[in-house]
Amino acid sequence: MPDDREARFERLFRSQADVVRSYALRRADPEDADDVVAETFLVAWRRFDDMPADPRPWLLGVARHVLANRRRADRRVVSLSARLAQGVAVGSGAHTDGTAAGTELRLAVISALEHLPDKEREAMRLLAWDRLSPADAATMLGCSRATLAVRAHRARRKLAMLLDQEGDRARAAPAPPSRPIRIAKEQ
Amino acid sequence: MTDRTRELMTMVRDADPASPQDRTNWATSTQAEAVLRMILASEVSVVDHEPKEYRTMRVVLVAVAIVLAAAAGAAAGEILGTPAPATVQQDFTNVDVGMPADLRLNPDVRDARLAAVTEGAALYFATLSDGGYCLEIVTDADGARGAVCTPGAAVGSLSIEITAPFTDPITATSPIVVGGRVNVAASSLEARFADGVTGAIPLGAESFYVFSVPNDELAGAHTNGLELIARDATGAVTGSSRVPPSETRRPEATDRLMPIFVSTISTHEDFTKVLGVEGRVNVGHAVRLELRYPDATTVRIAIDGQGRYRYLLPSGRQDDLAELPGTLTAYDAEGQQVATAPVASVAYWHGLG
Repeated sequence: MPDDREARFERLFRSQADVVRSYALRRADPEDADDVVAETFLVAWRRFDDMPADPRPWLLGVARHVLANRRRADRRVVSLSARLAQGVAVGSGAHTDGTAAGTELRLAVISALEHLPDKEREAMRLLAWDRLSPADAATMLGCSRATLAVRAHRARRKLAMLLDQEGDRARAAPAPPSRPIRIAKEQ
Repeated sequence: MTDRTRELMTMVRDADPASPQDRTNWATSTQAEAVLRMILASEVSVVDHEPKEYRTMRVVLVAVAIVLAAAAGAAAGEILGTPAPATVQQDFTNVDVGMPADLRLNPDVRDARLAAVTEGAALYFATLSDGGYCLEIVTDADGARGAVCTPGAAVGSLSIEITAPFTDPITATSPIVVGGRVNVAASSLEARFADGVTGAIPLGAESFYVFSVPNDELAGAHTNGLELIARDATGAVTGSSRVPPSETRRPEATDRLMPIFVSTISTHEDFTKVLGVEGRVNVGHAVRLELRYPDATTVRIAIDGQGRYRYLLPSGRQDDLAELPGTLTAYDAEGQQVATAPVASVAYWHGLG
């Protein structure tokens, strides 16, 4: 029944659209994030009858493809840390305390994340930011749970090392408080 | 989870660029409502989403405008300009399914219409914004035969585009329907058979044409092919093209001519992915095959006694042939390289077209 289909889709959209947008916002510009939501749910609307019982990994999987396609179409890929350092809006941050130290730590973590290999970074982002369970993250990435666990483990290890190194550098030669801490990486 | 791990996860979570407040604000925004209404107002397009095998060579063959047979029914005998039936519109829509945005052709499906008619067959077309077009032949016997698209950049290279669908098995009496478009200035088009017989082919709208080879020329056309000749008002030849003999139109014949025939296994949901490769090494003394990814890592692929091979890429590797080709290399028993062939995603070849 079409009306019932619309009603069910609307419920899906209202419960999951913000999740998809947050996922996109963590990986793209805010203006692109809205487009990613629209494209993802357009696919969902067309494939609504085939939607799995737990739609979140499926929706994020579609959003991932949409983002990948947009990146292939548009090479203007600017790293998240670069956008933050340039003052471009990317959301207010989950728990920003408003202090310079808090902002610097946030930038350091994001820069360190961008220094990770793609697959390890994505595993960490899915678990920490998108709050997916390891099983759902593995499903979304098309890998086994064991593989996902290995990627997350490696990501944590490297992140800890990078942040420790950055802390050592900061202690040895403290930067001016207003200057964002960056871990250099060629994009 | 150790204290250090817990502390690290907390730091990463705190660095999340999307806050709960952002989520709430957006979910209740007019933007979110507009997106929802836009989607609900769109037409539902139900597509077949079972994974299918798409042969890279088919994409290449599209570039030279020989097309393979496809699916279901429609009818001819209508007025030129009549809107294309739903099956044809769907086929035109499907040419972009799974393609990245920068490689989509975006045919004007809503304006797809009948361009040429002959007894038992019709040709529909849709324009592309770059000056190219997609066409599809529909026959009474076999229905819609598959969309073939010619990007604007390729139009000038084909004086007469030819599309000749066929259905296996081909016999001497199998019907031959030929359609396409005359891309040079022409006021008439004729078919010339190997025995010297010629026949006028009526030009339809926008210089498209479709015709059926007469029964008494079928056997000769299957064996020898035929030629199409375009002429201007003075009778001067302005272009010509050959419809090849049936045997060379069969994909198997082309496949066998290649030292390594490569068919990529893809899903139409995302043509940038390569799920696997399969095919046949036609160099008799090859004993092993190797796939080299663009990052120079290699994997060995087994080949059987007939030279056939099939290899499914690990999920972590399925994106690696999206933008750069890898290489399949066949070696003989002495370890000497005897043949190579590129292998890449459908989207990669599509982009080159």
